[in-house]
Amino acid sequence: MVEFFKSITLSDYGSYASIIGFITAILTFFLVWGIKKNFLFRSQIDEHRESLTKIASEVSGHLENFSENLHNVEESFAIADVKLRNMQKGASKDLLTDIKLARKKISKFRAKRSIFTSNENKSDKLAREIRTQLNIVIEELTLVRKELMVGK
Amino acid sequence: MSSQRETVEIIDKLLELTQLDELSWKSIDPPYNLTSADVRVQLVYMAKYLQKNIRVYEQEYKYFVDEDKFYWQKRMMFEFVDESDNVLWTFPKTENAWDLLKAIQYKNSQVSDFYKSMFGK
Repeated sequence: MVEFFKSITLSDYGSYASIIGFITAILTFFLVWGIKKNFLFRSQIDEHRESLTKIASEVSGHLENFSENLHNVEESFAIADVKLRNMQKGASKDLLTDIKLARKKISKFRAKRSIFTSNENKSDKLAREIRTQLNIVIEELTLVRKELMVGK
Repeated sequence: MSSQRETVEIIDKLLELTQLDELSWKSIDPPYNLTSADVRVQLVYMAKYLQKNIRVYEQEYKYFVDEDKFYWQKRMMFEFVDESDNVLWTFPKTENAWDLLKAIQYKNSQVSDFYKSMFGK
C-alpha cells in the first residue's frame, strides 16, 4: 500500500482528482434536477388542486345528463389529463399511484372508436369512476400540502 | 377509522344515487343544537340509506383573525345521526361534498322539471 503511494506521480494525482470531479459533477446534476422538479411541483400544488376541483365539479354537473353532455365530459377529461401529466413529473408515493390510475382510466375513456372496438368505454359508469379518482387525487394533494406546511 | 379515500367514494356513490333518482333527500330547518351566535345553518338535508340516517348541510362559522375581527367561512358537514338528531359520526372534510350538496339542491328544487315545463322539452 505504502509502495503504491510512493510510486504515483503528481500527474496521477491530477488524473484521480479529475475522475472524482467528473463523478461529483454528475451527482450534482441529478441533485439539482431533482430539486428543480420537486420545487416546481411544490410551488404548483395549490394551482393543481384548484383546477382539478373545478374540473371534478364540472364533470359532476355534466353527469346529471351524461348522454347529452358527453362532449363536455370528454373535454373536461382531456384537460384533466394534461394537468395530471404535468403533476406526474413531481409526484411520488400514493399520489403518483393515484395519478397514474386516473390517467389510465381517462385514456380508456378517450380511446378512439375503431372497427374492432365498440364505443362502450364512453359510459356513465367509467366517467363516474374517473370523477371519483380525480377526487381522490385532490384529497392526496391536500394531504401533501399539509405535510409540506409542517415541513416534511 | 374512516379515511379520506373511503369518504370520497361514499360521497360519490351518494351523488350518483341522487342524480339517478335512487336516493331522495328531505330538506328541514336546522335543529336548535346546530346553530349558535358563531354558527349559521340555512337548510339541512336528510336521507335514509342502508338503515343509516345521513345528514348533509352547509355550515357558516366565524373565523376569528383577531379578538374582535372575524370572517364568515363555509364548510360542508356530512354526518350519520340517530333518530333524535344526535351525531353518530362526522366524516372527514372532502371537496366532493360540495358537489353532493349541489346535486341535492338541484334535485330538490326540481330545476330540470321547471326547465322542461318552461320550454316543453
